[in-house]
Amino acid sequence: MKRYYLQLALRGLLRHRTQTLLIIVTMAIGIASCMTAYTILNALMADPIAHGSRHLYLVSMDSQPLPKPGDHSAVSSSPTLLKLRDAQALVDARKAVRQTYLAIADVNASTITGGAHDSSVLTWLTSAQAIAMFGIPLRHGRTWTAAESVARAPVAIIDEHLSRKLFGVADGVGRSLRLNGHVFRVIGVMANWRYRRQFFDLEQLYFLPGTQFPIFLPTQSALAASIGPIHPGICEHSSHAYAFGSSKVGDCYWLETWVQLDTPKQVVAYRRYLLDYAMQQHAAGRFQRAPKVALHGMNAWVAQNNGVPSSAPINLWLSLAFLALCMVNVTGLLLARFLRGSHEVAVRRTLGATRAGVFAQHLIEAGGVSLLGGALAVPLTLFGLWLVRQQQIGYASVAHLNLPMFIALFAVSVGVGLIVGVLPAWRASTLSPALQVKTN
Amino acid sequence: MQPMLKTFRRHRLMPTLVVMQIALATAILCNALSLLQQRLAPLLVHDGVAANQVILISHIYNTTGKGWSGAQIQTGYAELRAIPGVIAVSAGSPLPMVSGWYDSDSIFSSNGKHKANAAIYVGSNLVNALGLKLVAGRNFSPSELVDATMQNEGGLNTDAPVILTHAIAQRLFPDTNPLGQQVRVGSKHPSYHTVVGVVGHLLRNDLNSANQPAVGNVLLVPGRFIDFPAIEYAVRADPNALPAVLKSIPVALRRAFPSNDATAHSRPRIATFEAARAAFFHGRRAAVWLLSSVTLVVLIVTLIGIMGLTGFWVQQRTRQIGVRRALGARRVDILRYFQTENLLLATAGIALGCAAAIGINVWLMAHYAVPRLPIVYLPIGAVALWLLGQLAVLGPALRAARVPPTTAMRAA
Repeated sequence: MKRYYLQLALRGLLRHRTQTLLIIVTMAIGIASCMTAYTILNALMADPIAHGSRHLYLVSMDSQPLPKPGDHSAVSSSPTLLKLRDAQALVDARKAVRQTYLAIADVNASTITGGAHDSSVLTWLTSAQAIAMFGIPLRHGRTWTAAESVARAPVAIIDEHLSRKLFGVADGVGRSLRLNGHVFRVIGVMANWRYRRQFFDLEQLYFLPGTQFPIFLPTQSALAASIGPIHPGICEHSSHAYAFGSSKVGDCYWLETWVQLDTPKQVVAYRRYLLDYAMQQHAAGRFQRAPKVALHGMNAWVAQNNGVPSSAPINLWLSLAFLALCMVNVTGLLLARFLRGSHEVAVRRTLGATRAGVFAQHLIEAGGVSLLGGALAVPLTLFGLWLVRQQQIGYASVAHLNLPMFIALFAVSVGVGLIVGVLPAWRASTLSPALQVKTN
Repeated sequence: MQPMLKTFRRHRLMPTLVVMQIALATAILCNALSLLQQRLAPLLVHDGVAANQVILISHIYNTTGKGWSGAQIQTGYAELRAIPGVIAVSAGSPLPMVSGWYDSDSIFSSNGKHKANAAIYVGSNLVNALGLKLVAGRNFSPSELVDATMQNEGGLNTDAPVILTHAIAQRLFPDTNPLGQQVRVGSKHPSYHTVVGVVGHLLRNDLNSANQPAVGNVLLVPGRFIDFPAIEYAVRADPNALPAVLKSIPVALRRAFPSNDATAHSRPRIATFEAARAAFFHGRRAAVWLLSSVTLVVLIVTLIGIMGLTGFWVQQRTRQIGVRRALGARRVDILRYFQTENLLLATAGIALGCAAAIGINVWLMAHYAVPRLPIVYLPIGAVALWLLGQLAVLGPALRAARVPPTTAMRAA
């Protein structure tokens, strides 16, 4: 019986080819526009790092000086930026499960002989636990030790891509490279890691999604080689303010400190420790402002400072409304088609087909059309995402279709097909056979 | 009218579907058009800069931890000015279309009555270097140049005169001649600035949804930069010499700003104003394309939908049409009948759709940075869908009008 219905449905589809095509295309455009918008929104709302950000917190400590009286140019305090001295103290204290500080530099990387590969590379100035804390896969070698950091050893971790570019091999451990003219030795090679959403330096610098940071350097070693942060934050001597790339950042607030705290108890204890630290420094006269500390969860911090551009959800709502329009449209077209064939239905009903049978037959026909629409929506969605990637807009590079999205797309198209099919199929099945046979 | 309503009551499904389609289309159309207009508006505003003459050099960074001295910035100016074909040069910060950073603030008229938000451009000779057209007053005189340092906020903490764009001049001094009037920048700067000139157009470099209506609000300050860590230049050249000037600029910059190992990697961006403008507006243009295609597709889908439904519904009533024709109805009566029917359905749909459009807009405003839907879009959407409905019904209605009276008898 099912096969018979399928045959009938197929014959129905083939009978009105233009109309069938119209219905399929309408469905496909509606579904594809929704999936494109949803894929983009989903990528934009993703967890900042693949490894999971649930237990990561940004330290906030009001350590910046009070504005001088009459100084109008004073920027308001950003308590998430610390001096190297304080960031180092927090990292050295090892009161959290893991802790690290970081800032971004822009360095010129080349092979030891210079020449061919001379390019500007974004670099993390950080401390040893960053690799483990942010879940960055280390492919070869190791991270630096505390002793190397203290000794300002010129060591670096680079990613596989840069290793291939500079040395021609993925495992560049033991090789040397030149950063801003200074020789550094590669001690570790990490995977080509990307964060999903930027979580660091949000108050100062904005990087496009998918930006890679192929070099990690111990902060002290970098400073010793005159490599400084792109943006030195706020400096006590205003002559140093806006000192781009300078390594003379002793009196600047430029490092973010991130900690990993696995349980609520640890969070409470760490906040207590931070407050104690701030109070000590305040008592010693180093911190001028009243001690004030906070821990920002990574997700909340990112949501607050790197919010999803409002055009993304608006586009999704717009495309949902559009899908609704397409669905009403297809419902109408299907209804028109089923009722046109009403004399045929009447004949089948008089010959003994049940109401449920007629309903099923039409639902199968509607479902078939929407499945075809869903299938056509796949290339259309891929095309839509490709179009988005061609634009030089902020979030273009996140526009990729992944497997869960793909499955969701099919679920949506089948669901849509059933919804649009129910009404016309029901209407066709409730036709009174006697009346139809008589009128025709 | 009476028989039409009766028909609607008897066959509810078809008219309901048409009304729903029109309602959805109206709601989408009004909101999409409003979003489209928002993205499009700044693209259509005259930027005021001389066409095909201006080159922008953005961000020559000093990475040694100190700023560029006044002498170095002046050397840069002289080197650029000496390139053959160059008409005018100005150091500036920030510059339009290259959004390194923004400087914008509320500008108050001296009587405190009016205020408007504006972008502030500081530079030594911006009017000439950008080729701006003065519509009133004069350009700054060389003696009016003030020292612009990080400490005095690029000259804002001085009593330097200012030039306004026509847009902000009208906002601040709606009833008086702005020339000779005074303005104050922000609430924390105590100094007053005298307006010496008004330029026709110039765009701000910090466009966002909040300041979009004030896209042409700019205030120019005559400043000579001293100890600035990042400097930008605007260069105006003879249109014929532009390609050659573009090539000569890097050489001139290398002479003026000798590179040490730290500056080597922060190469400044050199682009014609047109290229910078295209890059600046890229995202907006993409959004404009997206929204216009949405609008178009919505219209097409609705057209096809109404056509399909009406076509069927008319066909279903062939016998009735035959009867009416047999009883004396003219072809034009049949045509008018279906057109009126469509008009009624469209009106119902449009009424529903307008309500939905406002509802959607209110909801969007509550959740996202979306401005209020201008009421003018409702009649625009309504007219568009009325026309669309009539267009969709025309074919089926004409076909119906051609039904011969004999059809009625034959079917019976």
